[in-house]
Amino acid sequence: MTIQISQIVLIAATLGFIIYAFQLRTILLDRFLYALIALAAIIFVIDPALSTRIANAIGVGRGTDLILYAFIMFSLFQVVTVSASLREIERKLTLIVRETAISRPAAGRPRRTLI
Amino acid sequence: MSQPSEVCVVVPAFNEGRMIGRVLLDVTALPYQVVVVDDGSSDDTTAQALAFPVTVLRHVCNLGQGAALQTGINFACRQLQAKFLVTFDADGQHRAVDIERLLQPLHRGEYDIVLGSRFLPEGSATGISWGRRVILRLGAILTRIVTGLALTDTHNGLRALTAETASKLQLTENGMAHASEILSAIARLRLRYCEVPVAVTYTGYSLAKGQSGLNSLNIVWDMIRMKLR
Repeated sequence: MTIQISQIVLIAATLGFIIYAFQLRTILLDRFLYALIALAAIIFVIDPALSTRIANAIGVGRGTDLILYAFIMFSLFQVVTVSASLREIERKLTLIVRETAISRPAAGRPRRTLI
Repeated sequence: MSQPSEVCVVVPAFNEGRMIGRVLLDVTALPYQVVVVDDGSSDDTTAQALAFPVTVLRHVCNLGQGAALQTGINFACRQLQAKFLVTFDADGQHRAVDIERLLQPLHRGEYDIVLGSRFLPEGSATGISWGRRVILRLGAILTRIVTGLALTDTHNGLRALTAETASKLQLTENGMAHASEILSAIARLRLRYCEVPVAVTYTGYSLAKGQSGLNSLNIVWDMIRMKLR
């Protein structure tokens, strides 16, 4: 098995993405990333052959494949982010419901005492 | 020997209006404090429970059994100053007389948590199906492999633990995975644990309410997930 430069680039990009997802994320950087993705999309629309040229350069074949890979990576990133925030919301909801319940205890019929 | 009032039985209940009366009749015959956590039921579970000498806490929406247990445990420790906690299912599968047996090892100070087992020689599982028996056995084997705990019955709702143990547990699994969460916590915190034989009775009602056999495959996933955490 020979490792191509394209593979090294893709692995490095994936690792960079993971580091970004877990360490470097800020709202500003996220917005910058989204803007970058939107810009890339516009450029690919204007020049459809560009994606193929880039794909050929890094050795993934067709341009559609390149965009597919990027899409998969982006979607996975989104899934992880969304599920993390869902868990956090669920944790907070539990806390609210629990504290509400504890602050409003209802006493049942008193225990009959033995005479 | 501790005071009976230092013991609190926590009964999580979701839509158990038909059964909770029978369960509480049995449990409140004992001298312990009882906390019922109505986990957002849409039926008359709370009204039924209030006919007994218990405290009812009500979740405004349904969160799951694990969350209900933790709510009851928090209340028992903070407001009732309970020293010993018992978890008891509301579907009528447990017997209140088993509670005392569960508490004895805790009273002696030898253990942090005592788990009820329907599969120990003196325990029993009336009305259990062949398939469920196999699944629970597999659960025990799997628990042994994943956590190293040697247990005969890993998913029994009847347990007793000290308040100190409860404060270390802090269940974050709202659903049914709390059973596996407790087991992995026992292993992680190196808690002193033992099993005590208890009787479990399956009825048409508890079977319909409880988890289906196939759902118990979730246990496998939960155990692995908690190991990785």
